[in-house]
Amino acid sequence: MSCIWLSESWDYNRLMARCSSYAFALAIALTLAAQARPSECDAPAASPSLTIPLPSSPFAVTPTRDGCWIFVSLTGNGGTGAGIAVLKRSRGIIQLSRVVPLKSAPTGITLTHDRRLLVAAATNATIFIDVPRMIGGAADPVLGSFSDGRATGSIYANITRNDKLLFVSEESGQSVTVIDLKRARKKGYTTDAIIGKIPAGSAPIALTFSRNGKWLYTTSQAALPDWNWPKACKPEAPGIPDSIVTRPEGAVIVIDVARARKDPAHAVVARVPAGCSPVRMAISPDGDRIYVTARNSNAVLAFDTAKLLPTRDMPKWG
Amino acid sequence: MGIAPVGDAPVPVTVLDKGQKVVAGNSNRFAAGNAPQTLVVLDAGKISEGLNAVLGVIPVGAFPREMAVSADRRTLFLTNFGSKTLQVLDIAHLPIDTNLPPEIAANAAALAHRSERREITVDGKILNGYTGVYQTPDGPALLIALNGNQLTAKIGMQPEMNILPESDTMFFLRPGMQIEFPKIDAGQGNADQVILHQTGRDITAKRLDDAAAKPFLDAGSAFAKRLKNQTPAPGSEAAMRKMIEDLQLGKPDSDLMNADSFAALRRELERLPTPIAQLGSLQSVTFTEVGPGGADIYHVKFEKGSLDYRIWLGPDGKIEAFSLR
Repeated sequence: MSCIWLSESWDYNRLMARCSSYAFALAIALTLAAQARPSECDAPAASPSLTIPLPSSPFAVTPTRDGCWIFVSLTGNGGTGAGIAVLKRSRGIIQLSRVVPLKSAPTGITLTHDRRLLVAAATNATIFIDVPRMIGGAADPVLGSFSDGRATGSIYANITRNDKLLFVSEESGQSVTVIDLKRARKKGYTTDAIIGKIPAGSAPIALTFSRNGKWLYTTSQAALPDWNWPKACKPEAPGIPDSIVTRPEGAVIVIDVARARKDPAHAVVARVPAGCSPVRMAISPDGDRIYVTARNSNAVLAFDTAKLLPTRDMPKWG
Repeated sequence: MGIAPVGDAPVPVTVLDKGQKVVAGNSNRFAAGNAPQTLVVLDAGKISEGLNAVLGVIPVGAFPREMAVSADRRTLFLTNFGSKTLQVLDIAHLPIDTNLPPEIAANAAALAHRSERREITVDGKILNGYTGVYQTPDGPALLIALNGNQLTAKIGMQPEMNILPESDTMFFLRPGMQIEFPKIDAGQGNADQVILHQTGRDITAKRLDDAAAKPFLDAGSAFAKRLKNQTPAPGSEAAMRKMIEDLQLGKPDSDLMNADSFAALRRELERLPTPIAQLGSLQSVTFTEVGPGGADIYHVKFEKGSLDYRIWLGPDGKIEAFSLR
């Protein structure tokens, strides 16, 4: 077995077992890594459940890899106070350090794998924020933002492992926008970086990559009429009896990442029914399963990712 | 490959313990207001066993929305949108309660029957026989109309709502409220009455003949036109100006409005941050829009402040309802 320095969630014991001939060198490297950490940022809090008040309703949360910082998107209070809450974490104590104000309410947030950029899907814009400046207290860490001018309801963002492509799900725009992130970082955060849009059904949200990075899975809350899926779901509101059926199920949609870069309009390779109003997704560590919350089925659905491959019912492209 | 019941309106989901556990947050976003909710912890190995997969629940804040796990996999972060908090959970010591809230079993039972659900469609000719105006004994008229193949109901001045078939004769209006039509044959005449089932109370409304129904149908189509064109009801601005003038003088006029509105006046005025008499002289009135609820909405500027004024004018020219903000 080759000895590869795993960039994500490496495990000391596993590495030592796999790479015994490199044990000495690894031991030195790990010691250096430990010394590079000034504090035990990752230490769990004394209480099994700790609650930290925030200035306004939070949408998403993402911690930094070293565990020393936590970023939370704040949706604001009636048009003011939207921004990114920056919380410092050390020895089990978490404190609000600052709020970086944003003009548009951020929802989904994601960090680049080089850890230098935070991208926020923010209702009618995609916003790019410099992480070192944000945690260093610089006056304006926002590097740029762009909007395609319509109320698309940008809600989630995710980035390929190589930091080259950014995907933003547009809940009101029935699409996932593909952005050349490498170009945007080099040439400026403008709409010129938009490669195109992937048709993603009604109200797409989740953006989860397969472990090999080849596929991107998204959720769509209800099948579009032209898919001809039978109606199976009640309207999504409290107190409506199950017997009233007005909407079709939603879907898990499979996107071919390589195709999305060249031909976004034809990058969807499969869609499978996923209960009533599927809205979020998580992937197992091995990548063999994805789990989806079906908000209007009051259920979690599990899918075998090996079976989420191109399906025959997709329209032919080309 | 599997489906497991959780609580109401689940949103966030994540995987813990090397894939052995799946955690979902019950947002209950459509019904709970700001009440605390739970996360449900599922055994991933039992995901296809329904309720058996549920290990327990973890108490969290209102509207749990998104989760993230630290890189060292020891800490779970959760945003509680409704509570305006970040909740931080130690994954090795999750406070799991094995007493499950009753909705999880109820949701499991509903899932078991999900494959039986079919859309109920009612013959358009039967629906056509239901349309008309029905009069309740002491209350408002009920206008049943057909929009394409969608049956709608409008009670008094309330906004028109889609009503959804539970059978050929029973239609759902809103939680706790159904409309029942008598059984009629397709193309064979009209329903002569409807029964409003409202939380245990049944109200029978009789069909009005064409002449009696006409003013209601005219008012309905006039409103639809005003909503489309965004034009206020004739006389609504004058009635509003008169009412404000009276209130500033401290002499509200009971002839200007119906009895219900006059009774609600004091309560409505007490809600205002500044008493209306202290706002100074009226400077300008701007018509904003016809709201989806049927109100003419005006923005009223005074010397020392402003008000948003919603007014519903009845067919007799009296104020049927209003609100001041």
